[in-house]
Amino acid sequence: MRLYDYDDESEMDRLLNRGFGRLPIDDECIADATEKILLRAMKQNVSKCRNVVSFKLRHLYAIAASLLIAATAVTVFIRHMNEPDIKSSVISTIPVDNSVAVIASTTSNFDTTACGRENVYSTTDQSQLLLGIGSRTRTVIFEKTTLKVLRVNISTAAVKIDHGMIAVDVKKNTKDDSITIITPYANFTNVGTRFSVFADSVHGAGVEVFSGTVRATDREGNAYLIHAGSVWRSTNAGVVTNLTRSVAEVEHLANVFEANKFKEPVDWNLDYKIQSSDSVTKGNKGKRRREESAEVSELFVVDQVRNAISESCYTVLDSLLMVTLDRSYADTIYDIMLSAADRKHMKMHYSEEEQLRSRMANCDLFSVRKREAASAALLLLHKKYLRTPPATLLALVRIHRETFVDGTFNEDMGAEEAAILTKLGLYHETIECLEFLLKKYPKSSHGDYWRYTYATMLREHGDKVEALDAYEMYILNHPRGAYLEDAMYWTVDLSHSLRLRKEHLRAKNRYLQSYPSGRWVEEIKVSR
Amino acid sequence: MQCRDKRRVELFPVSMDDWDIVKMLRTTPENRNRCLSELIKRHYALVVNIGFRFFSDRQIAEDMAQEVFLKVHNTLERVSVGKQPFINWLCRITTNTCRSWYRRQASESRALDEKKIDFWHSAYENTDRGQEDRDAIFHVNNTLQKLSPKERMSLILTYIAELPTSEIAAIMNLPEYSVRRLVNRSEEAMRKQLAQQRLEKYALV
Repeated sequence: MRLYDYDDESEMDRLLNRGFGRLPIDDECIADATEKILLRAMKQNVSKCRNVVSFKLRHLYAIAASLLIAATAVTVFIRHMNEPDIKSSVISTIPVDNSVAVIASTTSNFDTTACGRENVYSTTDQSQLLLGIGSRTRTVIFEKTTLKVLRVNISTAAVKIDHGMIAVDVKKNTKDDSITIITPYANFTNVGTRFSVFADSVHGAGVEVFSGTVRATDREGNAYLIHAGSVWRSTNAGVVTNLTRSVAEVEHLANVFEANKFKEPVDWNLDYKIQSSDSVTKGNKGKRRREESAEVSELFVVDQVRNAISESCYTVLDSLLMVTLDRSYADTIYDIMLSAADRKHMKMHYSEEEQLRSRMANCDLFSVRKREAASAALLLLHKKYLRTPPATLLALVRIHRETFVDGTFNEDMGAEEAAILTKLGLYHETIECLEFLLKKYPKSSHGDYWRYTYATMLREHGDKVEALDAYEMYILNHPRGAYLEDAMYWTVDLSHSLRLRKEHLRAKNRYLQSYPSGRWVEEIKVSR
Repeated sequence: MQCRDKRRVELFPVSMDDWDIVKMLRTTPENRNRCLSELIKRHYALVVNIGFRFFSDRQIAEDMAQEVFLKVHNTLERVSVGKQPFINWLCRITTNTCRSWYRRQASESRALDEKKIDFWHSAYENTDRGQEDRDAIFHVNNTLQKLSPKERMSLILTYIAELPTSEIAAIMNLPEYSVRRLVNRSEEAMRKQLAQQRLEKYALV
């Protein structure tokens, strides 16, 4: 074997030419590869067609299903309007409005008051009430319990108990959440069930589920699914326990529905019809009353939101934000929360502002644009006032970018991510991020900063050659950039350290012509 | 008895331009597979060579080549015919695919396994010239892996794809003078590395 002499250029050239020769591939190999490629291409086409067909089919099914549902709803509605009341088996009725009625009571020792827009029901230590709430829910209010009905409409209801115990039965085949029960310690929402809820200042709040599933939300906003046969409790200290049925029996939570004391047995399967005091609910009159009732309920929710914000009661706010509302009311609630977060009429700590803004960013009630704006404001709050560590801030920025992929603020968020990565000194990630941003937003106003930072990161990492190229690209793309003088200086410095004589001279002359009285003139003039 | 001279009419004569094959593919969908097969037949070796030099692994190079031709298949309907030489367009796809595959890989440098060269160069084994070529390829590949991906690709496109500097600049998204400087620098680095390798090898002997 010959020893190649480094100075012998022709030998080196020969070695390179030999070493770079194209390696042969036999026809069999090419044929094999062709077959594989064609097969993959065919599979790709088939799966594309399948996706299109299944997409179209799904669309068709969805359209057919929604037409069927609409037709059924219309039919039921018309029937509901016209059908005479024949199924009523009410023992005694004290209708409050179209939505709520006392179906049965053990004694007359209970209170029913309407406080503004709230319907309040209180029982004594010797009385129980059976309430019908809406057309799908019956609730037994046990002794020494106060229940407030916050809101009722066709498909949903919200009630609040501060202390006491209730049992709830929701008619089967209800898909959506039918009733939400708000307590000081937790909120419970059914998913087509039968369950009981208690709340008091000693034991906190709890639920026992007899059939179906209940969703419980504690004060910290954590959600739990409680299935049939289970008991869940949240104490006022915030500790959550999952009790077994035997323990629940010991604590007298069993057989709730059999433990009520009505004179006549309550047939839970019977179809109760709520009627107003004039016992006529027909046609437009009934419809208008229902609409008014719904509107009153929505205004009531808006009011409750205002109260919840002023009292910093975020558990209640969370449950109110779960209520389905029209867009106009949702916008009103958003504006209320925004003006509170902007401190327009009330003082607020940064932590409280953070709570509000995060709810605004995550609540499905609001439009995507509003949520995006709230998320951007939240990130600014974290950055400027909450002194959030850079790693956490980076995670939040990434969540924002993933959630609002084509959002208005995505470019700025990208810039923010790049800045944080630079601060954290994560070289590879910064480089990747900057390359991505430069490619995706070539005409961005941040492009000046991005290109310069890219070149600087390369230089600081020791990639002098790449850094030199990057600085040249910066000079080419930003002839009036903010960092032009610096970029020109670094091209001089790097070409000198890389011993690229011609480039060094060219860069030096370029700098001296562009900045005859620049910051580094003396230093550059001295360099050879 | 007269024998008819049955000449097979070649669908793809050697002189046919690659873009003409693409036009045929668009106008006659029934010949789609045949057109694609012809393009693969013509350029598969080049793409695999580029991949092999970049990754120093034939298996990866072949997998990468499959992905390149799948991308070609997917974009043939949309690409502007005749805007640039077909080979340049293909090299651009290959370069981008290499880059994205490179990022997926865990390790930065790979030492070339001699067995892979044996598998590929069984034809050269028994001759002196074959042995020299084999050594040259081994050393050049080994040295290539020590360069940065950018330098590696610039040399591969210069030597393997034999593209002009202007085309390499367009593919790598760099100014032309940068490419020239990059290639010169990379060659310089290769020469130093190769000489160093030789010295080390003979120092051990």
